[in-house]
Amino acid sequence: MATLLRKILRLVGPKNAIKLSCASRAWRLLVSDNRLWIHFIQNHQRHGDLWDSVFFAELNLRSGYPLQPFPSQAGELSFMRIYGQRAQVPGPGSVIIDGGSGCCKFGWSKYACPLGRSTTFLEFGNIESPMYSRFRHFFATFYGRKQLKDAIHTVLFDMNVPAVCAVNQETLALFAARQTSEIVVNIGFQVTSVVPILNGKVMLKQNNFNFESLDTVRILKENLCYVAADYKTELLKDTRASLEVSAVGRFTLSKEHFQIGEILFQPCIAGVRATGLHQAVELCMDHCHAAELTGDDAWFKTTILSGGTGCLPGLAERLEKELSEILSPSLANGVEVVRPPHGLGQSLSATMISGCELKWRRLFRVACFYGHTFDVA
Amino acid sequence: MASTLKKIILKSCDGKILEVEEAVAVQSQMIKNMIEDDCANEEIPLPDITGEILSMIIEYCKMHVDGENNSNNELIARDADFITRVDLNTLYYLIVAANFLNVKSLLDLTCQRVADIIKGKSPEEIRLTFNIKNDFTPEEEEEIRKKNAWAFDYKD
Repeated sequence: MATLLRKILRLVGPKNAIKLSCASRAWRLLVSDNRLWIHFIQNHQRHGDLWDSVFFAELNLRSGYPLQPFPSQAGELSFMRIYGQRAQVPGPGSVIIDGGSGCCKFGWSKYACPLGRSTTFLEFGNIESPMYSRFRHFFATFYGRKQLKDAIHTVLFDMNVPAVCAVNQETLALFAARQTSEIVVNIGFQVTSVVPILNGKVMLKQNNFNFESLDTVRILKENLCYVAADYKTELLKDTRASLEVSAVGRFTLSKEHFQIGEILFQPCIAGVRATGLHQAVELCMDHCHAAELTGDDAWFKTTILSGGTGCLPGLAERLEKELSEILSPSLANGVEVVRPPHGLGQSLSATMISGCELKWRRLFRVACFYGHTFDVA
Repeated sequence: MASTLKKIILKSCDGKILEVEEAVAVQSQMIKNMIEDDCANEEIPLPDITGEILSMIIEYCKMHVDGENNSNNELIARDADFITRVDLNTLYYLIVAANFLNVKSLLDLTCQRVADIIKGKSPEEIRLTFNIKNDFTPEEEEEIRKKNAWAFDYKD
Protein backbone atom coordinates (compact mmCIF):
# COMPACT_ATOMS: atom_id res chain seq x y z
CA MET A 1 0.00 0.00 0.00
CA ALA A 2 2.85 2.37 0.84
CA THR A 3 4.32 1.91 -2.65
CA LEU A 4 0.96 2.76 -4.16
CA LEU A 5 0.69 5.93 -2.10
CA ARG A 6 4.20 6.92 -3.13
CA LYS A 7 3.24 6.36 -6.75
CA ILE A 8 0.21 8.63 -6.34
CA LEU A 9 2.25 11.29 -4.52
CA ARG A 10 4.71 11.46 -7.41
CA LEU A 11 1.80 11.99 -9.77
CA VAL A 12 0.24 14.88 -7.83
CA GLY A 13 3.38 17.04 -8.05
CA PRO A 14 5.15 19.16 -5.41
CA LYS A 15 2.54 21.82 -4.63
CA ASN A 16 -0.34 19.43 -4.25
CA ALA A 17 1.85 17.13 -2.17
CA ILE A 18 2.42 20.02 0.25
CA LYS A 19 -1.33 20.60 0.48
CA LEU A 20 -1.80 16.91 1.20
CA SER A 21 0.78 17.15 3.97
CA CYS A 22 -1.37 19.82 5.62
CA ALA A 23 -4.32 17.45 5.83
CA SER A 24 -3.20 15.35 8.79
CA ARG A 25 -0.19 14.06 10.70
CA ALA A 26 -0.15 10.73 8.88
CA TRP A 27 -0.10 12.51 5.52
CA ARG A 28 2.56 14.88 6.72
CA LEU A 29 4.81 11.95 7.58
CA LEU A 30 4.14 10.27 4.25
CA VAL A 31 4.83 13.41 2.20
CA SER A 32 8.04 14.33 4.02
CA ASP A 33 9.75 11.27 2.48
CA ASN A 34 13.15 12.36 1.10
CA ARG A 35 12.96 10.07 -1.93
CA LEU A 36 9.77 11.79 -3.04
CA TRP A 37 11.34 15.23 -2.91
CA ILE A 38 14.54 14.11 -4.58
CA HIS A 39 12.29 12.88 -7.39
CA PHE A 40 10.56 16.28 -7.49
CA ILE A 41 13.87 18.18 -7.56
CA GLN A 42 15.12 15.97 -10.39
CA ASN A 43 11.95 16.25 -12.44
CA HIS A 44 10.25 19.52 -11.56
CA GLN A 45 13.04 21.98 -10.83
CA ARG A 46 15.56 23.63 -13.04
CA HIS A 47 18.99 22.03 -12.83
CA GLY A 48 17.31 18.83 -11.64
CA ASP A 49 19.12 17.05 -14.45
CA LEU A 50 22.40 18.02 -12.77
CA TRP A 51 21.36 16.22 -9.61
CA ASP A 52 24.95 15.39 -8.62
CA SER A 53 25.85 19.08 -8.52
CA VAL A 54 22.67 19.97 -6.66
CA PHE A 55 23.29 17.26 -4.11
CA PHE A 56 26.94 18.27 -3.68
CA ALA A 57 25.97 21.88 -3.09
CA GLU A 58 23.25 21.05 -0.57
CA LEU A 59 25.55 18.73 1.30
CA ASN A 60 28.69 20.85 1.34
CA LEU A 61 27.87 24.48 0.64
CA ARG A 62 24.61 24.90 2.52
CA SER A 63 26.10 26.41 5.60
CA GLY A 64 28.08 28.93 3.53
CA TYR A 65 31.53 30.10 4.52
CA PRO A 66 33.55 28.86 6.25
CA LEU A 67 32.80 25.41 4.82
CA GLN A 68 32.46 22.64 7.35
CA PRO A 69 35.36 20.17 7.13
CA PHE A 70 32.85 17.41 7.86
CA PRO A 71 29.73 18.08 5.82
CA SER A 72 26.34 17.13 7.14
CA GLN A 73 25.13 13.63 6.39
CA ALA A 74 22.67 13.17 3.56
CA GLY A 75 20.20 11.72 6.04
CA GLU A 76 20.05 14.95 8.00
CA LEU A 77 18.86 16.99 5.05
CA SER A 78 15.16 17.49 4.46
CA PHE A 79 14.71 17.62 0.72
CA MET A 80 11.15 18.79 1.19
CA ARG A 81 12.50 21.94 2.82
CA ILE A 82 15.26 22.22 0.23
CA TYR A 83 12.70 21.98 -2.58
CA GLY A 84 10.70 24.77 -1.00
CA GLN A 85 13.73 27.00 -0.59
CA ARG A 86 14.86 26.40 -4.13
CA ALA A 87 11.34 27.03 -5.42
CA GLN A 88 11.43 30.45 -3.81
CA VAL A 89 14.48 31.67 -5.72
CA PRO A 90 12.60 34.22 -7.77
CA GLY A 91 12.43 34.74 -11.51
CA PRO A 92 15.54 34.50 -13.56
CA GLY A 93 17.91 34.13 -10.59
CA SER A 94 21.10 36.14 -10.44
CA VAL A 95 23.26 37.60 -13.13
CA ILE A 96 26.54 35.72 -13.36
CA ILE A 97 29.54 37.44 -14.87
CA ASP A 98 32.67 35.46 -15.51
CA GLY A 99 35.39 37.98 -16.08
CA GLY A 100 38.03 35.91 -17.83
CA SER A 101 41.32 37.49 -18.79
CA GLY A 102 40.52 37.19 -22.50
CA CYS A 103 36.81 36.98 -22.72
CA CYS A 104 33.97 37.97 -20.43
CA LYS A 105 31.05 35.52 -20.24
CA PHE A 106 27.70 36.56 -18.81
CA GLY A 107 24.26 35.09 -18.25
CA TRP A 108 21.45 34.28 -15.82
CA SER A 109 21.88 31.65 -13.16
CA LYS A 110 18.69 29.98 -14.38
CA TYR A 111 20.18 29.01 -17.73
CA ALA A 112 22.62 26.19 -18.29
CA CYS A 113 25.05 28.25 -20.36
CA PRO A 114 26.09 31.87 -20.79
CA LEU A 115 23.87 34.18 -22.82
CA GLY A 116 26.81 35.85 -24.47
CA ARG A 117 30.44 36.79 -24.39
CA SER A 118 32.44 39.87 -25.10
CA THR A 119 36.14 40.30 -25.50
CA THR A 120 37.50 42.18 -22.55
CA PHE A 121 39.10 45.52 -22.71
CA LEU A 122 42.51 44.03 -22.05
CA GLU A 123 42.37 41.86 -25.14
CA PHE A 124 40.75 44.56 -27.18
CA GLY A 125 43.69 46.76 -26.39
CA ASN A 126 45.96 43.98 -27.50
CA ILE A 127 44.72 44.05 -31.06
CA GLU A 128 43.43 47.50 -31.69
CA SER A 129 45.40 49.98 -29.79
CA PRO A 130 48.91 50.71 -28.63
CA MET A 131 47.24 52.32 -25.64
CA TYR A 132 46.86 48.88 -24.11
CA SER A 133 50.12 48.71 -22.21
CA ARG A 134 49.62 52.23 -20.97
CA PHE A 135 46.12 51.38 -19.76
CA ARG A 136 47.35 48.30 -18.05
CA HIS A 137 50.11 50.24 -16.40
CA PHE A 138 47.57 52.83 -15.33
CA PHE A 139 45.35 50.27 -13.71
CA ALA A 140 48.22 48.43 -12.13
CA THR A 141 49.64 51.53 -10.48
CA PHE A 142 46.54 53.49 -9.65
CA TYR A 143 44.18 50.77 -8.73
CA GLY A 144 45.86 47.50 -8.02
CA ARG A 145 43.59 44.51 -7.74
CA LYS A 146 41.66 45.61 -4.68
CA GLN A 147 40.90 49.10 -5.89
CA LEU A 148 39.94 47.84 -9.34
CA LYS A 149 37.38 45.59 -7.69
CA ASP A 150 36.04 48.47 -5.63
CA ALA A 151 35.76 50.55 -8.78
CA ILE A 152 33.77 47.79 -10.50
CA HIS A 153 31.46 47.48 -7.48
CA THR A 154 30.88 51.22 -7.38
CA VAL A 155 29.88 51.17 -11.04
CA LEU A 156 27.51 48.25 -10.44
CA PHE A 157 25.86 49.93 -7.44
CA ASP A 158 25.47 53.11 -9.47
CA MET A 159 23.48 50.96 -11.88
CA ASN A 160 21.11 50.04 -8.99
CA VAL A 161 22.39 46.50 -8.69
CA PRO A 162 21.10 45.45 -5.25
CA ALA A 163 24.06 43.29 -4.23
CA VAL A 164 27.29 41.94 -5.61
CA CYS A 165 29.04 38.75 -4.66
CA ALA A 166 32.58 38.12 -5.85
CA VAL A 167 33.77 34.55 -5.90
CA ASN A 168 37.19 33.50 -6.95
CA GLN A 169 37.18 31.41 -10.07
CA GLU A 170 39.33 28.56 -8.83
CA THR A 171 36.92 27.94 -5.95
CA LEU A 172 34.01 27.81 -8.36
CA ALA A 173 35.86 25.37 -10.63
CA LEU A 174 36.35 23.22 -7.58
CA PHE A 175 32.64 23.33 -6.70
CA ALA A 176 31.76 22.57 -10.32
CA ALA A 177 33.87 19.43 -9.99
CA ARG A 178 31.90 18.68 -6.79
CA GLN A 179 34.90 18.91 -4.49
CA THR A 180 35.78 21.13 -1.57
CA SER A 181 39.52 20.41 -1.26
CA GLU A 182 41.90 20.04 -4.19
CA ILE A 183 44.52 21.75 -6.31
CA VAL A 184 43.02 23.78 -9.12
CA VAL A 185 45.01 24.58 -12.25
CA ASN A 186 43.32 27.46 -14.01
CA ILE A 187 44.62 28.19 -17.49
CA GLY A 188 42.83 31.12 -19.02
CA PHE A 189 43.57 33.45 -21.85
CA GLN A 190 46.36 35.36 -20.22
CA VAL A 191 46.68 34.00 -16.74
CA THR A 192 47.69 30.62 -15.46
CA SER A 193 47.42 29.84 -11.79
CA VAL A 194 47.95 26.85 -9.55
CA VAL A 195 45.84 27.12 -6.43
CA PRO A 196 45.51 24.68 -3.53
CA ILE A 197 42.11 24.89 -1.83
CA LEU A 198 41.24 23.27 1.49
CA ASN A 199 37.57 23.18 2.54
CA GLY A 200 36.73 25.85 0.01
CA LYS A 201 39.39 28.23 1.29
CA VAL A 202 42.26 29.32 -0.94
CA MET A 203 45.47 28.41 0.88
CA LEU A 204 47.94 30.30 -1.27
CA LYS A 205 48.04 31.52 -4.82
CA GLN A 206 51.25 30.29 -6.19
CA ASN A 207 52.06 30.93 -9.73
CA ASN A 208 50.96 33.54 -12.16
CA PHE A 209 52.60 33.58 -15.48
CA ASN A 210 51.30 35.63 -18.33
CA PHE A 211 51.09 34.74 -21.97
CA GLU A 212 49.82 37.42 -24.24
CA SER A 213 47.93 36.35 -27.31
CA LEU A 214 45.42 37.40 -29.89
CA ASP A 215 41.84 36.52 -30.64
CA THR A 216 42.75 34.65 -33.83
CA VAL A 217 45.10 32.52 -31.82
CA ARG A 218 42.25 31.76 -29.47
CA ILE A 219 40.05 30.54 -32.32
CA LEU A 220 42.86 28.37 -33.66
CA LYS A 221 43.57 27.10 -30.20
CA GLU A 222 39.96 26.16 -29.49
CA ASN A 223 39.53 24.36 -32.77
CA LEU A 224 42.78 22.67 -33.62
CA CYS A 225 45.01 22.35 -30.63
CA TYR A 226 45.66 19.53 -28.25
CA VAL A 227 48.36 18.34 -25.90
CA ALA A 228 50.58 15.51 -27.04
CA ALA A 229 50.92 12.52 -24.74
CA ASP A 230 54.55 12.29 -25.77
CA TYR A 231 56.02 15.38 -27.39
CA LYS A 232 58.95 13.70 -29.14
CA THR A 233 56.97 10.94 -30.85
CA GLU A 234 54.25 13.43 -31.82
CA LEU A 235 56.89 15.52 -33.64
CA LEU A 236 57.61 12.59 -35.97
CA LYS A 237 53.98 12.24 -37.09
CA ASP A 238 52.25 14.13 -39.90
CA THR A 239 49.66 16.17 -38.02
CA ARG A 240 48.69 18.74 -40.64
CA ALA A 241 45.20 20.28 -40.33
CA SER A 242 43.66 23.57 -41.35
CA LEU A 243 40.86 25.91 -40.36
CA GLU A 244 39.11 28.87 -41.95
CA VAL A 245 38.90 31.82 -39.59
CA SER A 246 36.21 34.18 -40.89
CA ALA A 247 37.49 37.53 -42.15
CA VAL A 248 41.06 36.52 -41.41
CA GLY A 249 41.89 33.65 -43.71
CA ARG A 250 42.82 30.03 -43.83
CA PHE A 251 45.39 28.62 -41.48
CA THR A 252 47.21 25.36 -41.75
CA LEU A 253 48.89 24.03 -38.67
CA SER A 254 51.16 21.05 -38.43
CA LYS A 255 53.25 20.66 -35.32
CA GLU A 256 51.88 23.98 -33.99
CA HIS A 257 48.79 22.01 -32.92
CA PHE A 258 50.47 20.54 -29.98
CA GLN A 259 53.35 22.98 -29.65
CA ILE A 260 51.00 25.56 -28.19
CA GLY A 261 49.96 23.14 -25.50
CA GLU A 262 53.55 22.02 -25.08
CA ILE A 263 54.52 25.56 -24.07
CA LEU A 264 52.70 24.87 -20.80
CA PHE A 265 55.18 22.13 -20.06
CA GLN A 266 58.24 23.57 -21.80
CA PRO A 267 57.93 27.37 -21.70
CA CYS A 268 61.37 27.63 -23.32
CA ILE A 269 59.83 26.67 -26.70
CA ALA A 270 58.17 30.05 -26.73
CA GLY A 271 61.26 31.75 -25.38
CA VAL A 272 59.59 32.27 -22.00
CA ARG A 273 61.66 31.78 -18.89
CA ALA A 274 59.12 30.27 -16.54
CA THR A 275 58.39 27.09 -14.64
CA GLY A 276 56.63 24.32 -16.52
CA LEU A 277 53.05 23.61 -15.48
CA HIS A 278 53.85 20.18 -14.06
CA GLN A 279 56.72 21.66 -12.05
CA ALA A 280 54.43 24.36 -10.70
CA VAL A 281 51.87 21.77 -9.62
CA GLU A 282 54.60 19.61 -8.12
CA LEU A 283 55.92 22.58 -6.14
CA CYS A 284 52.41 23.34 -4.97
CA MET A 285 51.89 19.74 -3.81
CA ASP A 286 55.22 19.83 -2.00
CA HIS A 287 54.15 22.98 -0.15
CA CYS A 288 50.79 21.45 0.75
CA HIS A 289 52.53 18.33 1.99
CA ALA A 290 55.04 20.31 4.03
CA ALA A 291 52.34 22.51 5.56
CA GLU A 292 50.72 19.44 7.21
CA LEU A 293 47.30 21.05 7.33
CA THR A 294 45.40 17.81 7.68
CA GLY A 295 46.16 14.35 8.96
CA ASP A 296 46.59 12.91 5.49
CA ASP A 297 47.61 14.11 2.04
CA ALA A 298 44.50 13.05 0.19
CA TRP A 299 43.05 16.55 -0.13
CA PHE A 300 45.58 17.82 -2.67
CA LYS A 301 46.06 14.60 -4.63
CA THR A 302 43.45 15.49 -7.22
CA THR A 303 44.07 18.38 -9.57
CA ILE A 304 41.19 20.10 -11.33
CA LEU A 305 41.65 21.88 -14.64
CA SER A 306 39.66 24.98 -15.40
CA GLY A 307 39.73 27.98 -17.69
CA GLY A 308 39.54 28.04 -21.48
CA THR A 309 42.93 26.48 -22.17
CA GLY A 310 42.34 23.97 -19.40
CA CYS A 311 39.94 22.29 -21.82
CA LEU A 312 42.66 21.39 -24.36
CA PRO A 313 42.28 17.73 -25.29
CA GLY A 314 44.97 15.56 -23.79
CA LEU A 315 46.03 18.10 -21.17
CA ALA A 316 44.68 16.19 -18.18
CA GLU A 317 46.30 12.92 -19.28
CA ARG A 318 49.64 14.57 -20.04
CA LEU A 319 49.77 16.49 -16.76
CA GLU A 320 48.98 13.33 -14.83
CA LYS A 321 51.76 11.48 -16.65
CA GLU A 322 54.32 14.26 -16.05
CA LEU A 323 53.35 14.53 -12.39
CA SER A 324 53.71 10.83 -11.73
CA GLU A 325 57.21 11.05 -13.20
CA ILE A 326 58.53 13.99 -11.20
CA LEU A 327 56.76 13.56 -7.85
CA SER A 328 58.40 11.54 -5.12
CA PRO A 329 56.84 8.06 -5.01
CA SER A 330 54.91 8.66 -1.78
CA LEU A 331 53.27 11.79 -3.20
CA ALA A 332 52.77 10.36 -6.69
CA ASN A 333 50.60 7.57 -5.33
CA GLY A 334 46.96 8.36 -6.07
CA VAL A 335 47.60 11.55 -8.02
CA GLU A 336 44.80 12.32 -10.46
CA VAL A 337 44.02 15.12 -12.90
CA VAL A 338 40.38 15.78 -13.76
CA ARG A 339 38.23 18.23 -15.63
CA PRO A 340 34.83 19.37 -14.32
CA PRO A 341 32.28 16.79 -15.50
CA HIS A 342 29.87 19.23 -17.11
CA GLY A 343 30.68 22.49 -18.79
CA LEU A 344 31.90 24.82 -16.10
CA GLY A 345 29.11 27.34 -16.58
CA GLN A 346 26.47 24.65 -16.43
CA SER A 347 27.61 23.05 -13.21
CA LEU A 348 28.14 26.46 -11.76
CA SER A 349 24.63 27.64 -12.27
CA ALA A 350 23.44 24.36 -10.78
CA THR A 351 25.65 24.94 -7.78
CA MET A 352 24.90 28.61 -7.50
CA ILE A 353 21.19 28.14 -7.28
CA SER A 354 21.51 25.62 -4.49
CA GLY A 355 21.94 26.07 -0.80
CA CYS A 356 24.98 28.06 -1.63
CA GLU A 357 22.99 30.72 -3.43
CA LEU A 358 20.32 30.65 -0.77
CA LYS A 359 22.90 31.34 1.87
CA TRP A 360 24.26 34.12 -0.28
CA ARG A 361 20.77 35.42 -0.79
CA ARG A 362 20.35 35.84 2.91
CA LEU A 363 23.66 37.69 2.91
CA PHE A 364 22.42 39.50 -0.21
CA ARG A 365 19.47 40.87 1.69
CA VAL A 366 21.75 42.18 4.39
CA ALA A 367 24.11 43.49 1.76
CA CYS A 368 21.25 45.11 -0.12
CA PHE A 369 20.24 46.88 3.01
CA TYR A 370 23.64 48.34 3.61
CA GLY A 371 24.52 48.52 -0.06
CA HIS A 372 27.88 46.87 0.30
CA THR A 373 29.68 43.86 -1.09
CA PHE A 374 31.18 40.76 0.31
CA ASP A 375 33.69 38.23 -0.90
CA VAL A 376 33.61 34.51 -0.78
CA ALA A 377 36.96 32.74 -0.46
CA MET B 1 -5.79 -22.45 -31.96
CA ALA B 2 -6.60 -24.12 -28.71
CA SER B 3 -4.56 -21.84 -26.49
CA THR B 4 -6.39 -18.62 -27.44
CA LEU B 5 -9.76 -20.21 -26.80
CA LYS B 6 -8.72 -21.59 -23.47
CA LYS B 7 -10.75 -20.20 -20.59
CA ILE B 8 -9.33 -19.21 -17.27
CA ILE B 9 -11.63 -19.56 -14.28
CA LEU B 10 -11.41 -16.87 -11.59
CA LYS B 11 -13.14 -17.01 -8.23
CA SER B 12 -13.77 -13.83 -6.25
CA CYS B 13 -13.72 -13.64 -2.46
CA ASP B 14 -17.52 -13.54 -2.31
CA GLY B 15 -17.74 -16.79 -4.27
CA LYS B 16 -18.53 -15.40 -7.71
CA ILE B 17 -17.04 -17.48 -10.54
CA LEU B 18 -16.02 -15.79 -13.77
CA GLU B 19 -14.80 -17.42 -16.95
CA VAL B 20 -12.31 -15.34 -18.92
CA GLU B 21 -10.59 -15.90 -22.24
CA GLU B 22 -6.90 -16.45 -21.82
CA ALA B 23 -6.01 -13.47 -24.06
CA VAL B 24 -7.97 -11.22 -21.68
CA ALA B 25 -6.70 -12.86 -18.51
CA VAL B 26 -3.02 -12.46 -19.43
CA GLN B 27 -3.42 -8.68 -19.21
CA SER B 28 -2.77 -9.49 -15.58
CA GLN B 29 0.92 -10.21 -15.19
CA MET B 30 0.14 -12.33 -12.14
CA ILE B 31 -2.22 -14.64 -14.03
CA LYS B 32 0.16 -14.72 -16.99
CA ASN B 33 2.92 -15.98 -14.69
CA MET B 34 0.56 -18.60 -13.27
CA ILE B 35 -0.32 -19.83 -16.76
CA GLU B 36 3.35 -20.02 -17.68
CA ASP B 37 4.03 -21.99 -14.52
CA ASP B 38 1.11 -24.27 -15.42
CA CYS B 39 -0.82 -23.41 -12.25
CA ALA B 40 -3.94 -22.05 -13.96
CA ASN B 41 -5.72 -25.24 -14.94
CA GLU B 42 -8.15 -25.11 -12.06
CA GLU B 43 -10.07 -22.12 -10.77
CA ILE B 44 -7.89 -19.36 -9.37
CA PRO B 45 -9.13 -18.06 -6.01
CA LEU B 46 -8.70 -14.32 -5.54
CA PRO B 47 -8.95 -13.31 -1.89
CA ASP B 48 -9.65 -9.61 -1.22
CA ILE B 49 -11.25 -9.04 -4.63
CA THR B 50 -15.05 -8.92 -4.76
CA GLY B 51 -17.07 -10.10 -7.73
CA GLU B 52 -18.10 -6.53 -8.55
CA ILE B 53 -14.48 -5.28 -8.71
CA LEU B 54 -13.34 -8.40 -10.57
CA SER B 55 -15.94 -7.95 -13.29
CA MET B 56 -14.88 -4.29 -13.66
CA ILE B 57 -11.29 -5.34 -14.12
CA ILE B 58 -12.29 -7.95 -16.66
CA GLU B 59 -14.35 -5.33 -18.48
CA TYR B 60 -11.28 -3.09 -18.58
CA CYS B 61 -8.98 -5.87 -19.83
CA LYS B 62 -11.48 -6.89 -22.51
CA MET B 63 -11.71 -3.30 -23.65
CA HIS B 64 -7.94 -3.24 -24.08
CA VAL B 65 -7.75 -6.57 -25.89
CA ASP B 66 -10.61 -5.65 -28.23
CA GLY B 67 -9.23 -2.19 -28.76
CA GLU B 68 -5.74 -3.32 -29.68
CA ASN B 69 -6.17 -2.19 -33.27
CA ASN B 70 -7.75 1.12 -32.36
CA SER B 71 -5.85 4.37 -32.39
CA ASN B 72 -4.14 5.51 -29.24
CA ASN B 73 -6.46 8.49 -28.87
CA GLU B 74 -9.49 6.26 -28.95
CA LEU B 75 -8.05 4.07 -26.19
CA ILE B 76 -7.31 7.11 -24.05
CA ALA B 77 -10.89 8.33 -24.53
CA ARG B 78 -12.24 4.91 -23.54
CA ASP B 79 -9.96 4.79 -20.49
CA ALA B 80 -11.19 8.23 -19.45
CA ASP B 81 -14.80 7.16 -19.90
CA PHE B 82 -14.19 4.01 -17.85
CA ILE B 83 -12.44 5.74 -14.98
CA THR B 84 -14.78 8.71 -14.57
CA ARG B 85 -17.69 6.32 -13.97
CA VAL B 86 -15.89 4.96 -10.89
CA ASP B 87 -16.62 6.48 -7.48
CA LEU B 88 -13.89 7.08 -4.91
CA ASN B 89 -14.65 4.03 -2.80
CA THR B 90 -14.64 1.67 -5.78
CA LEU B 91 -11.48 3.39 -7.03
CA TYR B 92 -9.70 2.37 -3.85
CA TYR B 93 -10.61 -1.31 -4.30
CA LEU B 94 -9.73 -1.12 -8.00
CA ILE B 95 -6.23 0.13 -7.17
CA VAL B 96 -5.66 -2.60 -4.61
CA ALA B 97 -6.93 -5.26 -7.05
CA ALA B 98 -4.99 -3.90 -10.04
CA ASN B 99 -1.87 -3.93 -7.87
CA PHE B 100 -2.51 -7.50 -6.72
CA LEU B 101 -3.29 -8.80 -10.20
CA ASN B 102 -0.46 -6.65 -11.60
CA VAL B 103 -2.37 -5.01 -14.45
CA LYS B 104 0.09 -2.20 -15.06
CA SER B 105 -1.98 0.00 -17.40
CA LEU B 106 -4.99 -0.14 -15.05
CA LEU B 107 -2.81 0.65 -12.03
CA ASP B 108 -1.38 3.67 -13.85
CA LEU B 109 -4.85 4.80 -14.86
CA THR B 110 -6.34 4.48 -11.37
CA CYS B 111 -3.39 6.15 -9.59
CA GLN B 112 -3.49 9.01 -12.09
CA ARG B 113 -7.20 9.36 -11.38
CA VAL B 114 -6.56 9.72 -7.63
CA ALA B 115 -3.82 12.25 -8.36
CA ASP B 116 -6.20 14.21 -10.59
CA ILE B 117 -8.82 14.24 -7.83
CA ILE B 118 -6.22 15.64 -5.38
CA LYS B 119 -4.79 18.22 -7.76
CA GLY B 120 -5.85 21.81 -7.22
CA LYS B 121 -7.65 21.10 -3.94
CA SER B 122 -6.98 22.98 -0.72
CA PRO B 123 -6.11 20.98 2.42
CA GLU B 124 -9.71 21.45 3.63
CA GLU B 125 -11.16 20.14 0.38
CA ILE B 126 -8.74 17.19 0.49
CA ARG B 127 -9.89 16.32 4.03
CA LEU B 128 -13.51 16.52 2.96
CA THR B 129 -13.00 14.41 -0.17
CA PHE B 130 -11.01 11.63 1.47
CA ASN B 131 -12.65 11.82 4.87
CA ILE B 132 -9.36 12.65 6.63
CA LYS B 133 -9.54 13.81 10.24
CA ASN B 134 -7.52 16.95 10.96
CA ASP B 135 -5.35 16.05 13.96
CA PHE B 136 -3.18 19.18 13.94
CA THR B 137 -3.63 21.87 16.55
CA PRO B 138 -4.52 25.24 14.98
CA GLU B 139 -1.03 26.54 15.91
CA GLU B 140 0.68 23.59 14.24
CA GLU B 141 -1.38 23.99 11.10
CA GLU B 142 -0.65 27.70 10.97
CA GLU B 143 3.08 26.99 11.26
CA ILE B 144 3.09 24.32 8.54
CA ARG B 145 1.27 26.65 6.19
CA LYS B 146 3.65 29.48 6.96
CA LYS B 147 6.67 27.24 6.30
CA ASN B 148 5.26 26.07 3.00
CA ALA B 149 3.73 29.32 1.85
CA TRP B 150 5.38 28.91 -1.57
CA ALA B 151 3.01 26.03 -2.38
CA PHE B 152 -0.08 28.12 -1.70
CA ASP B 153 0.85 31.06 -3.93
CA TYR B 154 -1.14 29.98 -6.94
CA LYS B 155 -2.79 26.88 -8.27
CA ASP B 156 -1.23 24.61 -10.82
